[in-house]
Amino acid sequence: MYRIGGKPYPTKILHDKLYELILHEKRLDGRSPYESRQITLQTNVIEKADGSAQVSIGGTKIIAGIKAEVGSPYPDTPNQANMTVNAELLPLASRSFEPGPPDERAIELARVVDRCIRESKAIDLEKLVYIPGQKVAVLYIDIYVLDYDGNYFDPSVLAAVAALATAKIKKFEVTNGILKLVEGEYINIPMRRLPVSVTLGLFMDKIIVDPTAIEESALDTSLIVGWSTEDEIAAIQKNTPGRLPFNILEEAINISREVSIRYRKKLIENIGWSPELMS
Amino acid sequence: MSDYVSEWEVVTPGQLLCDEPKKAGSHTYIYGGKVYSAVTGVVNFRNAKINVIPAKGPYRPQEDDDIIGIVIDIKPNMYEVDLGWHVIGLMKSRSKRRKTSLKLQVGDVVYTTVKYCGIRGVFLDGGESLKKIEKGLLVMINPVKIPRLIGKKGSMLNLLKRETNCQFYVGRNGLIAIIGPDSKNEFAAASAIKLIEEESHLKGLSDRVSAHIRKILLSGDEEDV
Amino acid sequence: MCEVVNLFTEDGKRLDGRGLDEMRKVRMEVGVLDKCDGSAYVELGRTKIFAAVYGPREAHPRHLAQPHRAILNCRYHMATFSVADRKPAGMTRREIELTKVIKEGLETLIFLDEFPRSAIDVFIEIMQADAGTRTAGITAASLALADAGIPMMDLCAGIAVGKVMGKLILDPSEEEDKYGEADMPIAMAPRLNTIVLLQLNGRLTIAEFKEALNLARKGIETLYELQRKALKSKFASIEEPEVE
Repeated sequence: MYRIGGKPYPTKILHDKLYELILHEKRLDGRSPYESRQITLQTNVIEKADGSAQVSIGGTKIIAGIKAEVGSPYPDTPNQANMTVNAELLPLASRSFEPGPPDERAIELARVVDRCIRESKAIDLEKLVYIPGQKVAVLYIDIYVLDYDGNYFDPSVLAAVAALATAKIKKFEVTNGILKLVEGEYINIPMRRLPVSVTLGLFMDKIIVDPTAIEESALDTSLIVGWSTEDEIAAIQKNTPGRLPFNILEEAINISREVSIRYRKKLIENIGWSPELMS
Repeated sequence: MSDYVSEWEVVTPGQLLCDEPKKAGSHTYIYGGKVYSAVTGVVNFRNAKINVIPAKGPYRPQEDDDIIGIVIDIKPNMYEVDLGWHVIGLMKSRSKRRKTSLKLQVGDVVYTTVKYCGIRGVFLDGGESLKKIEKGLLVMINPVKIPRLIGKKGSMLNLLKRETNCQFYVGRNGLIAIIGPDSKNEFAAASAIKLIEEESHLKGLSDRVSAHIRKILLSGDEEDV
Repeated sequence: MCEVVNLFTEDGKRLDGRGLDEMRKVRMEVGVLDKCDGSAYVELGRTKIFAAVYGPREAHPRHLAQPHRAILNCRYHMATFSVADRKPAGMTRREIELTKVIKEGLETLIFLDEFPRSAIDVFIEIMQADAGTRTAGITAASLALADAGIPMMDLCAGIAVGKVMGKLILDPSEEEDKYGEADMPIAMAPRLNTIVLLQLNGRLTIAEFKEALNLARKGIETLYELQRKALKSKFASIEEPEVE
């Protein structure tokens, strides 16, 4: 993959070249419009984390880690474990990421990943309650973007879900109303579903899947669709300025569904597990 | 030339090259009367000096360099042109020699020459040398590889032109514009340029580049670069 | 908790089987990230670190630029899941201090006056921390700078020396660090015979200090050779390609 420009602003000839290529159903890296880049996924990359996964999609590389602690439930959900997602766009990953507290992009990433997982009810949060109303598991999902060549949403969701699905957290038991750690024993995080997200870019009237950084700099707008299962949408986010024509939405959703099925298949291949096995 | 290293040997920063300060060439430094390498690269003997050709490195602007830049700001009488790294070029928007001044906008890609490198910045020629690149494929490689891309007396660049049928604008700052009869040829050229960047230190590169281009052009569909 | 922890086995070996002057397993790779100008990955035992360099590039904000040289920006940062008890996101006081000492170590060796009015940014990310992160961090940063082609006087490598139950040990593990009497991280540019980073946490006699320096030196020389090997491996030759 060759680098072009290197700065966040697009050049005019780049925009023209990209559109010229798309008219011939081709993209700068040789892909066809609905093709995503190659995905590699590894789990348990950080032993100290309770669960972890590293996902690369083309030149974008994400590491997600899970840490489980014990805490009080939120007042409005006394019988549910807590889950919180944090994401950082590390300055290592791109010229346009500055060191410092998460900016609006990092916060958006965290919240979209959170919605994909939470709204799809991917984790059976009720099963991680130790003492109802008092002690529950607190799951921290932390996402780091290490290298950025466009589209950090899809690999972040994949990494977070893969990390959750392969995590081993401490086992607790309650005796006489007191919470005790069971030394040396671990449990899986109970998962019901494996959500995935698909990022689409819109270029004039053409849709592309999984844009690279160069494509992102020239796109008219982009859209992320989170799928909890093959047929259920769990999250949608239009994450860039620009016009999204009403008429294109149905086509976009259909394209994203096809891609989501491929992503989920890849996820299941790697983690060697699926919710069907649980029931 | 040296008691410590031989030509084409790979050296790292801080590696001792020789005991004679007068032989210190490019990318070396003198300390305690001895010459050391300042970068990771390959040893090269030329003009009675020991030089190190770096594997990678930032662009160091010099007078008369042909460069490709992107216009990033327009100020009264001046364009700001990004040349990559820390180098911002400045170019007068009006020129005595040019009959009509070229109107540029932010995002335009220009090809011109470095007039001089001053303390306030790098000044570019906004007159006769200036060309605006209207279309094509823009590729960026590490600037230290540009001499290899051009080749001895332009031999490698001529090979690329012949084999891909494309026109090239080569900037010493690492940016290259490829304008070809169609995208397949442009892609073949871009892929060949990437190959030259990766294998610049190996022998027999010209033959490999030719073979690589022919393979891409003869294949039915475009190769995944 | 006044428990006495025995950090040596009966035959005088450390709990993980190492001798007093043995480092943990090291792995180094250069050019592991694509978008930056130079990068490196270093593993020391279970410590896993990425380092990336951007630069020289325009100094931001512009008023911080120096007229005659580049400014070096550095950040040592740990992932929340890098340690046993989740570390809060954001920079802690410890990370800020370590950023400073690492930056000062690297600054010593870079030819900053080659790039006036610009900035060189070095980012060190600790993905998993198991003691020795600041020294492994500066080792990785030095590799990333060399990968980026930033001119330097020398590479630098670092290691820590600990004192446990009166004995000096090279490259303390997390427990040895926690329960030991002293911890001395040190980084050097070996060819220049210069120390660029030096801290001590704990108590040492002068004799112990001198011995610790020598012990560290040996470890640093080993790491330095591994750094050179990692940089040179990018030049590995290829086989003859298939000719059609």
